[in-house]
Amino acid sequence: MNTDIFRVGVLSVVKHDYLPNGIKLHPRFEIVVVADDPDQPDWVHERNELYARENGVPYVQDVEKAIAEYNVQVAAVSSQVERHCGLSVRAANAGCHVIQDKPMSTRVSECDRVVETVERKGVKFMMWNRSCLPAIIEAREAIRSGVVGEPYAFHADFYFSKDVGPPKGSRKPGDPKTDWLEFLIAAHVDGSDGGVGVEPLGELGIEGCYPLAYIASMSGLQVRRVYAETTAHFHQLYDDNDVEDLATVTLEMEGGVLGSLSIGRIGVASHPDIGEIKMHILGSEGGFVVSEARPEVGVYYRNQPPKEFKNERLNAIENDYLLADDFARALDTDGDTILNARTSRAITATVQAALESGRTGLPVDVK
Amino acid sequence: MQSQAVGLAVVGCAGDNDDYLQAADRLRRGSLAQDVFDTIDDALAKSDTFDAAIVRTPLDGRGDAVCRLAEAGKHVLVDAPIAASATGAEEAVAVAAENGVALMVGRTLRFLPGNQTILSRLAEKKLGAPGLLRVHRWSSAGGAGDSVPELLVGDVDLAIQIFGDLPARIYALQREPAYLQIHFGFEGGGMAVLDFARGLPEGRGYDSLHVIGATGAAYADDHHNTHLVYRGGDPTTRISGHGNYHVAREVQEFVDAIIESRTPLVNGEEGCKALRVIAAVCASIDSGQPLRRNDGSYEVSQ
Repeated sequence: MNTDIFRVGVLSVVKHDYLPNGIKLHPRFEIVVVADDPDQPDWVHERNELYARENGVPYVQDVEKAIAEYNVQVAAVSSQVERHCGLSVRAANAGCHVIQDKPMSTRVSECDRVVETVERKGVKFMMWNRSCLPAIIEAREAIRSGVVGEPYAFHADFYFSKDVGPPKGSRKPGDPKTDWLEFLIAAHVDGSDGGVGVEPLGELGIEGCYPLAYIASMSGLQVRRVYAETTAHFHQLYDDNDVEDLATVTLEMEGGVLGSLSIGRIGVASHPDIGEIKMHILGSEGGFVVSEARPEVGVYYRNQPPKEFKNERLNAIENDYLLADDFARALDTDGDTILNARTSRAITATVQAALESGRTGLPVDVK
Repeated sequence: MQSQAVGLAVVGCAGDNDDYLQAADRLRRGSLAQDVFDTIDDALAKSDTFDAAIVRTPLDGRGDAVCRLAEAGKHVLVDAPIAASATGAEEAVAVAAENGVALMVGRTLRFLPGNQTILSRLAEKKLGAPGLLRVHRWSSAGGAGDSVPELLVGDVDLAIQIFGDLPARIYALQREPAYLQIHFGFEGGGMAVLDFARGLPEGRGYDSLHVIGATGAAYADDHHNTHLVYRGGDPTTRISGHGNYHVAREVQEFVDAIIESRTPLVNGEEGCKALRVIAAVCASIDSGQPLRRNDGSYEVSQ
């Protein structure tokens, strides 16, 4: 068994730190440095510095220098969304394998740069995902073993029961619109800052990659055409910034296979769990209904904080470990990762096509 | 206003009538004959034996049956859809109006206990403005009617009821064997995605219906209501039925509307609306394009 330990450089860690924390869970990975560009704003440096201090490693304000001087083999990219691909390309060009936070990007052209670079340099890439949650693993294995025969439809329901600031309609006449970046920087304290960056991102953009990755991993198929409805239904932040917190997407996939995605940040009052997150799969021999949050444990008590989930999923941390394990296996065997650059790029293209469809009211080809 | 109890008769055997016959004992101000008229001709030959009819004839003759009963002065509770087409349904509604009889659409999904709960919570504004309706409805072939209108009418009616309007945009896809997927967009941003599969192996079907509102959500889902049986290996499941009370409530609403000389809860015009939407669903499937509502009709989006 290979026991080599890979040296990990964390390239920016400005939002929730689950990605580098997930990697360091695995004994094959060791964080050796945190790095970022010197021209980043103070709040970015403060978060990077804090994470470096907590992990007992240096913080270097020069990405290329940090990679070279600390002999970084794996780059963990968890920056603002619009910087994801740029940092990944630079790391790959420096010969690093890359684990990048989701979403891959808001631009397919940026994803293309990553695909080209990692393939040219022969390095591994994985976009962070939830496809190693126990229920998703079970579903994937069951589908592949033929439990429903030949699948012909994949449906994903993906609702996060979280609030994001005041509800839609709460802004008084004359009040300024909520600034996206300012709000997301402040949201760091409760971990709801997945879309932090200059460019506002709706729920499809921030979280859509998770259920689309489920469908991709279960079906092995690419989406060819989409039709979408999008709206800001719940939160003032999303309405002010003209991005969606509720969306539905019809998916037309290779081989005539169909599917759909419904996704929303539906508010903490709307579910006792992290949210109703389910897969519905139909095939020639039957159907399969999977709840992503199972197994879970219900916990109810007097004076329970309203934001505390009453049903808590088990083994979520196992997902992080298994992702890191998958990456280590890919490195050891020169194999593929569970969510490689090309599939991540295809997912981004699907999301972008869905957003265009939502704007135009027409089906859009995924390119 | 009708002063005496309403005498009801079932006409036609398009479906199993046992639940209607069992509902008879629960009716107030109404009674249901235990004999079923197989055909509309049989019923009209004995039209003096009943005041109102529950029409369960096959879809292709259903609109005509409504018209003939209405012309005979009989109130009608007709299985949804009223007719095979919106035009046929509109004609039946007009004939019922001309003859001053009540016309109610039955076998919709509105009276099912889970949907009653959801609709009442929506009406009480507990869930806020509806944003999303998500439906998965799977069954084996050989259940209720196999035509597209029969397959869709209950959920289309429910969607219209939930959002309070007809969809503004419709996109639908169909795949063999017997699979339909429908996407609705409503004015104001509401949306619905519904899939219907008739290809499950013989046995129990699966129903799931979620309504996500601005301030709350409701989940009516067989997955949540599943019991487990352990007999070695992985457990098998059992799912409790809905009982029969919803059928009695539906018929009671029909009886009450007749006695109170008012429009029943699910009236003919609402039945026509569902059929107009279903026609647009079929047009979207045929064209491969979304349709957009323009005034009262749907046209292909450009």
